[in-house]
This record gives sequence, C-alpha cells and structure tokens, in this order.
Amino acid sequence: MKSIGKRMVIGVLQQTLRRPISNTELERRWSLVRNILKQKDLDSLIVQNSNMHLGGYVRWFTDLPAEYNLPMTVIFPVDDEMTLIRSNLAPMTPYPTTEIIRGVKEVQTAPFSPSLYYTGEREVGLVIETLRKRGPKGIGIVGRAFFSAGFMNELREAFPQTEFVDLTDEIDFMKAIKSEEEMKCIRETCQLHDKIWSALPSIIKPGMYEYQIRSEVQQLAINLGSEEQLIFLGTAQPGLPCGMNMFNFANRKVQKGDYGTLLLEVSGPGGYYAESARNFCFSEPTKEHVDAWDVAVKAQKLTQDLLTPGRDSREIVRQFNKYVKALGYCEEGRLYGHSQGYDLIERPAFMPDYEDGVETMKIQVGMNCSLHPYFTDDVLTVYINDNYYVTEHGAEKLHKTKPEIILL
Amino acid sequence: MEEVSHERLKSPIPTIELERRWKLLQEAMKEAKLDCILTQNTTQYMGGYNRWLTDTTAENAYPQSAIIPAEGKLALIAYGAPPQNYYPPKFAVRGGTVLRNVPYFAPFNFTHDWEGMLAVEWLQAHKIKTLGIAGMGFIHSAYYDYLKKQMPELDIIDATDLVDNIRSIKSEEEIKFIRKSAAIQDKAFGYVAAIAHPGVREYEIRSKLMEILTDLGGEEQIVVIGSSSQKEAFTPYPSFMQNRILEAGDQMYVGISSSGSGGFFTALGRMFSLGQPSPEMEANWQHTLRAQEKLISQLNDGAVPAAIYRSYNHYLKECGFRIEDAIFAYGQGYDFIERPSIEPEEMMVIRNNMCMAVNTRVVTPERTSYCCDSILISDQGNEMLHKTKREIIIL
Repeated sequence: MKSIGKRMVIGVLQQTLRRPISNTELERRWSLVRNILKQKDLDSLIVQNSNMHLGGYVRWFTDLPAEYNLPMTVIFPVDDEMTLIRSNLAPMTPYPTTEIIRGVKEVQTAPFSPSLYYTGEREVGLVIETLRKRGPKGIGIVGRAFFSAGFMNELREAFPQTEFVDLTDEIDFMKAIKSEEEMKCIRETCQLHDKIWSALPSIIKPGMYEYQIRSEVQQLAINLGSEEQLIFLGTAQPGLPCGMNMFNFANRKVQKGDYGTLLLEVSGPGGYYAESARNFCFSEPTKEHVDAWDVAVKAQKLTQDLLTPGRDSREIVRQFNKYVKALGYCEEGRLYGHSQGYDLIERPAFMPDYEDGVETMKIQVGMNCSLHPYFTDDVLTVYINDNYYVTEHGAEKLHKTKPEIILL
Repeated sequence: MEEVSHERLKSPIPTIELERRWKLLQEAMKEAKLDCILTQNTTQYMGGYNRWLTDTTAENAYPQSAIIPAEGKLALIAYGAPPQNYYPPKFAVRGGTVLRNVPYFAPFNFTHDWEGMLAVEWLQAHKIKTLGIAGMGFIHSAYYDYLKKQMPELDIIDATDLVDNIRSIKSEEEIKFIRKSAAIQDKAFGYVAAIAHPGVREYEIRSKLMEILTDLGGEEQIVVIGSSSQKEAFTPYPSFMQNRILEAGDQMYVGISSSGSGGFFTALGRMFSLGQPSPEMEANWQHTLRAQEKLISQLNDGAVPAAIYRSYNHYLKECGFRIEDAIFAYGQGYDFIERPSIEPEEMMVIRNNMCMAVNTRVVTPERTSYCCDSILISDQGNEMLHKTKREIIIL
C-alpha cells in the first residue's frame, strides 16, 4: 500500500493533462455536495467507476478518470479532503510531482483487478480502513450499478450499524446542470464533432471495412482532443437497413453506391461528451431516404421546441412517437435522448413509459441534451443526432453541421 | 451445431471450441451441484466471462449477462428495445437465445433492477435453486441485491474459481488466436519509429497505434506510454496522462495490451531512445532483460505463484531494485488480466498452455527501465510469442 500524502489545491501541470477543469469549478461542486451531506446528516459519500465511457461520478469529484475496467473509489467526507482508492496497475501521478490531484488528502493504492477475485478484499479493505477512522453513522452511496456486488457486500458487512443512504438522485441533478465552464468544454466537443463531419467525405471510400472507417475517425478524434470514443456505424446497399452497429459487428466491406449511418459519441476537451449522427451516401439518396430523413429532421426540430424548463422528458418522447407514427415511421421504444457530461449518457433519460420505472428528473435550464430520431425497418435506416443547451428562452442547438445527408 | 457466418462477423471462434467450453463447464457444474452460472461484464478490457461463454461481448460500459445451465441452452441478457437491433444480434448467437430486451443503463437509477428482472424471470422459469456467479468483482451490486431480494430462497455461490480453472488453460484453437494477436502487435511496434520524434505528443503515438492495431484486425487496445530525459526516472501512464512532448535525447516506454481479431489479449512493451542510448540506459535495459529471464525461467508447469513471487522479489532486492508490489505477471485471454497472477494469494498453479504477460521493471531512484512480453507456458520450454527483438529501439 502506498500513501502519497496531503495535497494542496494548486495549479495543474499542463504538460501532463490536455484540459484540466479549474479549481473554482471543482470547489463549486464540492460545496454543493457538502451542503447535501450536512442536510442529510451524513458523514461521507462514496462513488466508484471503472472506465471513461460511464465514469462520470469519479471524474466530477476529482477531474481524474478510472480507465480500463480498473475501479477507482472516491471517499468524500463532509468536513475533510477526499481519499482515492486505485489499483496500482494504473499509475496516476507524474513521477515525482502530484499537483494534478486536487482536494485529495490521500491516494491509497494496492494491486487489485476485478478479474483476480482474491484482490477484491484489498480494494474494499482500503475503503473500510479509511471510513472506519471516521466511525460514520451514515454514508451516502451514489450509482448502485457501478459498485460490484463483491465490494458492496463486504462494505455493508463491515459497517452493520451504519446507514447507507442512496444519494444518486441528488448528485445526478447536480451533475445534470452544467456550469459556464462545463458548457465551454461541451461546445468545444461539439466543434470537434463538426470537424470530423467535415472530414468524413475524405475518409470513407469504397473497399474499406467499416472498422477501418472507425479507426480513422477515432484517431482524428483523439488528435483533436477527445479522451474516449464510442463510435457506432453501419453501411448497406440502398434498399436494405444498415443499422447502427457496435464495434464488434462493424466489419462489413463498404461498396460503391452504399449508404450508411455514423454515430459519434466521443468526449472532447476535459472529458465532456456530446453526440452527433448523420446518414451518408456515395450517390444521390433515394426518394424514400430523403423523405424519411426530412421527417427525422422535422421530428428533431419539433422536440427541440419542447426542450423547455420543467417539462417531463417522457412527454417529449410521446410527442415524437405521435408525430412519426402518424407519418408511418417507427416509434422509439428505447432511448430518444438524454443528458450528457462526463458520462456519455446522463439523466434525465428520454424514454417511453415503462411500468417498471420512470425518469423523474425534469428538464431544467443548463442541461446539455441529445435528441436522436432513429428509424429503421426492412429497407432503410435513418439516424440524426445533435446536442442542445436548455435555456430559459428555448433550446440552443450546439452542433453546426447542417442536418443533411452527407454526400461523399 | 453449425458455424456462424455473416458479413458483420470478423473472426468468430469455431463452434467446436464453444462446445468444448460448455461441455467442460457443465461437467464441472454438475460435480459442484450448481444448477446454473451467471456472469455479467460491461467492457471488452475485461469482458472475458461473457465472451468465453458466448463469443459475444459487452462494449462501452453497457452491461451484458450470460446464464449457462448445468444442462440445456444458454440465455443472454443485453440492453435494447425497438427499433434498435437486438444485442447481440441473432446472427452472432450460438448455443442459446437472447431474452427479451429492455433499455437498462447503469447511469439511469430507475432502470437498475431491469437486468436482474430478466434474470429472475429465467431463473424462476427454470426452477433454479443453486446459482453460481462467476466474477463477484464484475456483477453490479444493484443486480445482485435484486436477485437476493426477489429469490430469497436461492442459494448463491461464488463460482469464479470453477470457471477460471477451465478458461485459464488455452486450447489449440485459442492459441491460434493468441498468436495472431501477438503478430499484429509486432507489426504495430514497427510503426513507432515512423511517428515518434521530437515535437510529437505521447497521445499522438497512442492514437496512431490504436488505428494500426484496429486496421490489422484488432478489437480493443490499452496503450501505456512514459517518457523523460535519459537522466530521469519515469512512469508509464494510461491514456489520460499522455500529453508530454517528446524531446531529442529522450527515453520512452510504449506498452500495448491489445486483443487481436477474435478478442484474445497479448502484451508487448519496449524501451525506445530518441538518439543514442546512454551507457546507463543500456545498462538498465540489460538488467531488465536479466530480470525478465529470471522470472520467465520460473513460470513452469506446476509452479506455485506465491513461491515465484518470493523468489523474484528476493532477486530484485538483491540487485538493489524496487521489489514488485503491482500486478506484473498474469494470465491473458479474453481479459487483459486473467488468472493466475504471480502474487502471494494466488492459489492457481502455473500450467502448460497458459498464456502469460510478463512485465519487468527495473526501478531505482535515478533510473527506470521496462519490458513486457507474452509467453506461452510449455514443457518444451516457454515460448516467447512476439518477434520484436528484445533490445532498445533507437529512433
């Protein structure tokens, strides 16, 4: 076990990090959380993540990510600086300086990986040891689907008299409302996307495999400042659906005359996500394609106009489904849109009514939301996606790329 | 059972290999009196349990579960809902079926029970009494809690050892894929000389290597990089901290853990010198190679990891180097880190046909040097899987 020791909240090393968030922004977040912990009479809060696709909780608290499925736990006390627990397989600090770690009293490391089951006790052991020093009566837990069962079972067993309080709703709401500085990063992410869309006609060529398109787009995104990338794509001959395929199924060879869809769900400077999608084709799109695309664009605009403070996201999905169904297109049964930030999907979720659970967070000023009409049937797939910033006076579209099918 | 074939599948594992795994596992389950085993993964870095059972994988932190009964066909659970395609798509699924999709996502707390809900439906329909879970470090707490709450009479057992013992020893088919993974890493390393020069940032090297590895058929990549002047010690970092600009005369370490076509991981790492290496850098490299040889010579069929750990650290200490306290020599397969790992608590002994990553580092307050190779454990002498020469690569 290694202890790095007390850290001052000081400037960061530009040489090491591409885009650190400011100390002022971190302090804003910590202040919000401390207020909640005091209101709820809780001693500490703990969060855990293990990757940069959905690693938003630990990043929001520390501006440091977990990577590669190796968990990082943040213990945030109501009246002290944080403690971080990390695997020593993922070194974090430039040797020997540690200025990038802010608001952190101690970083504890041990050799652990979830794939080596017997190392799990080392990880949770450090968390238990840290919490035990404080003798907590109540601990806030955020994101129960990010902690492993092995970790949480051990933790609860170690503190049988302690109340574990789920603070996910409270922290999710704080994360959902973006500050001015956060929005600056998100706007830059959208600009990064716009540059990729501009470059797309020079990337996609007949004879390429879809995964080669992905690899070139990914490289461009990283060089432009992206930290993590989710890229879905599909291609097909006109008259067939191309879908929106995860990487492991993106192996089709592109043919002359094809069309396709591409989704960029890639983070930009500072780790902030946006997402955008367009259709592309090698030759003039068919009339059916143009008609469907026009409906998707109009449906997106319709829901942009509904993106107003206080509105229930389910109502937006209902209106979308009503509009497209009347025109003969498929309804959305999965996820029509969502907020984004350090996670590629954040609350509020724009989902249809499900009897097993519903989104309770309403649309608010300051949210960064994506809206993505998606139609697919036996003959065609259409997908458009853009981000919007919710203001008192309506939703501002953040991507500048025109809502058009890209002709390669 | 037939092979799968589809233009969207790059390199499926032969069905005969999947059938071998299911047979071995189901026999072991019967012996252990387990009605079924459930696994959940969320990434390709460590998505091995699902991949091993189904040759399909979770990606991008979207969970996927697989349930294998002691007798009968598999059940797969993944997120989704109309109109999006089912995941995994039907053409990729062998030996079972995908249960009905529902759109659950880890950041949406109102959906936290939904994956468990589908699992409970299946467990109840199949009258399961004893459930094994492989990977308690992977299955989400919310998922596990839901199973316990909905089926309080269910006997839940940690079945990680049972699965790990089988999947750690690689079959002939699996070794073919492992060799392919090592081969594309060798090719990618050849490219570093063309892109690493003064003025380039570390992340630019990573982005190019990821592109090359993908173009060559690779699936998932971890590229760690560290660099400094040759007069300093340094640490290789994961992607988030690869922003340093290379300078003339620098030393650099590039380490790749990546999966090739088919999803099997291997690992390769070498030191680079931007200009002629100093005598000290060369001397450290030679120490690193000797440490590697010392370690590899002990990785033999029947060897006990705890004993190797003690012996290797004794050697490092005697040489005046920092002892190993990280995860440094470990199995690889569908996960970039698998068992056995060379450390005191590992109970799995080394066996022939295990693929192992061996990370060696020589660390003193003034100097650091690193090296990594994948090896195949064999009675005929451990096989070095990479062709990249074990020398400092001069740029």
